[in-house]
Amino acid sequence: MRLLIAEDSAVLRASLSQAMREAGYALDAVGDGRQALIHAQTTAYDAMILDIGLPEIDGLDVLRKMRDRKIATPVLLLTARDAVDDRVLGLRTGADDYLVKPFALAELLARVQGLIRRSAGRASPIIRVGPLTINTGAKSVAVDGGRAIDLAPREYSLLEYLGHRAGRPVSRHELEEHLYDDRSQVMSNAVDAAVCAVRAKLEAAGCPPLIRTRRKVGYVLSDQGEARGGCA
Amino acid sequence: MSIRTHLTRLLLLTIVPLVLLIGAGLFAYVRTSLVARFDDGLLARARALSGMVKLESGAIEFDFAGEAMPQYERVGSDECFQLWTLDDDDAPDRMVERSGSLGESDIEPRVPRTRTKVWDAPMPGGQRGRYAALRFAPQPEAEGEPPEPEAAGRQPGVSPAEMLIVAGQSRRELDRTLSLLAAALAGAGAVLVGGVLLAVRVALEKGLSPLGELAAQVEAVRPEALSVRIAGERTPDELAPIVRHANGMLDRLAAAFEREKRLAASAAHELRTPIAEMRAVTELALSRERSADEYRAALEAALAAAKRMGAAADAVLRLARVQSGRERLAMEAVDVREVLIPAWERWIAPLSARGVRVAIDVPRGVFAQADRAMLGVVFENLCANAAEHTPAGEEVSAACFSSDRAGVVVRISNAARHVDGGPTTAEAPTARVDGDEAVHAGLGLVIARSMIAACGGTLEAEAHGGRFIVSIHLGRPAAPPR
Repeated sequence: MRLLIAEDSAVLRASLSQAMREAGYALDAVGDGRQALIHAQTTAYDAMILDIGLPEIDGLDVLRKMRDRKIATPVLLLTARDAVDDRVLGLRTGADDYLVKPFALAELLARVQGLIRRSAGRASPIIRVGPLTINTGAKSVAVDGGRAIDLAPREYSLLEYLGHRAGRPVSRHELEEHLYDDRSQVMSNAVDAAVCAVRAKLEAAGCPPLIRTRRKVGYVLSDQGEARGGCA
Repeated sequence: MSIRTHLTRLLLLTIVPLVLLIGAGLFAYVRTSLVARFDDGLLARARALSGMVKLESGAIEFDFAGEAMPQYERVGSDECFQLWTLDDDDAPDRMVERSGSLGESDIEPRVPRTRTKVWDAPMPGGQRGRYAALRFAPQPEAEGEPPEPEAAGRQPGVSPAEMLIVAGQSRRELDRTLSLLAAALAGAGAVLVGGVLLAVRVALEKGLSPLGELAAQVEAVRPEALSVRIAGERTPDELAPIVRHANGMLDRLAAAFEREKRLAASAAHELRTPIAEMRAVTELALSRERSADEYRAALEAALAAAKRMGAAADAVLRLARVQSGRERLAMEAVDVREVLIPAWERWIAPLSARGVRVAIDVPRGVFAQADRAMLGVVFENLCANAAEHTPAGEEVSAACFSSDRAGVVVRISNAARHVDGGPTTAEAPTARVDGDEAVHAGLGLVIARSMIAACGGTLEAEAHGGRFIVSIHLGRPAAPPR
């Protein structure tokens, strides 16, 4: 999953960025509203953490412009103002959630996960595809019988992204865009390598092949149909 | 005591005695007149009776026609008379004639020293009466015939020098008239007093109703409803100044409460950011095992945030102490350049890195009366705001000028993208963006304005033409310290 963090406090921006990366997110971080709007318009983020008090263009205005341009990225507003009127204004402007500073990192992480889950149309943090269970809340993967599968953060992100879109093909480009950020030096076959790694681990855990390759389309996580594709 | 009670008592204590006094005076006047007329009538009858006494051949003749005056004949009637001669000592000598109405009783004569005398005494029947005595000299039968005192001498039946006639009349009618008059006056007085009481009550009720309405409106003003104002459309002229001043005071109170609320909100907002930073770095550091360098970096970041929070808290607390009078400012002649340049210096490098042009025009030798520390906090806040909000490639400037007319003015301005037209105030300390207020930390301008005001100056913020301009007026130039 790829996030955009817009926060003018350098300390807070750095802390949030590190926390999100350690949680497995790819992300971009900016310090003013103008950059935030540019990034939001040019990249399809899975969620956005937007501080209201941004220089150049404030967060509410960034949000307003995004919604005017039909950019539906889920947005969590960060602010130091806790008055009801301010919260109502933020939500009415188009925010999906609101968090008052100071906040617990764990709460921020949970709220971001909730935003991503709801944007994918899921009410539950549990994704089941065949015998595979992906717990997006705990960020864990298990196969029927309770066998946990140990995945690297990027591998988990890949599986979670496919899981949110289970049954639908996802292009390689889309996976690149949502799993890697500007800091990552993405090799041309990085996505393919990650898919192979995940497939191997699922197979090792006794899980039937669920990640299917659709030629010239992309990958799909499904327990229907015949598995195709392999890893070099 | 209420105004109503006080006025009621005052009016009653004034009007009631007046009514009583007038009533009593009127009664006394009318009674005197009536009695005088009664006495006149009585004396006229005595004169008439005295005219009936003649001297004939030295003897007293009383030519009284009882048939013509039957009231004197009937026993127990309301009128009577009696006639005496007077001796040399002016005392009644011999009773010459008496009216039949006296019955067995006699009138107790009183001889007037002058010609007449009137007095009250019981009538023969016991009722209250009034008597009039008249001294007179009997006239001879023929006109012009002189009396013969030497030939007659002073003998009973012989012509006396003077005689005394006393006529009496019952006071019954007089007294009844007087009683009726008294009753009428008392009744009228009571009605008048009652009417006055009612009129006073109604007049006070109507007259004081504006006060009651005013009191009700004032009672409606509460700390949580300071927007309420006293309606002055129907206020009497006497209360208009009170309404005007009360509303003015409420305006000032509401503005002060609003400023306090904004300052508190801005202070809380500004303090939350460093707290959020501290929390984030420490939670992140503690979320997993870290290297020593990472822990150190987290602690340093937390310390820096704590320092910023401390500085913000200090500024707010100091301002609160100054405003409450618990701390006095250290006012002195401050070289503006010496305070402003250090506030800018920490921003020059970061601004240059972003391609922001910095224009500083602050001459030496411009002194203003201010608290040095407080002025420093203000400049640091304003410079930080200007630096943080200036877009890359634009310009931020600080200038100071001084004149006897304008005083010392410091102007800090920065380019602000999408700045709307029109002035803004330090109470809404934000740059307008596309017509909506940005919510940049307002502590800078809010607290800056309060601090400058504490130093006796003013701070104005204006946004137009793509720039955000803060102007600080520090009053007349101060003489440099020796």
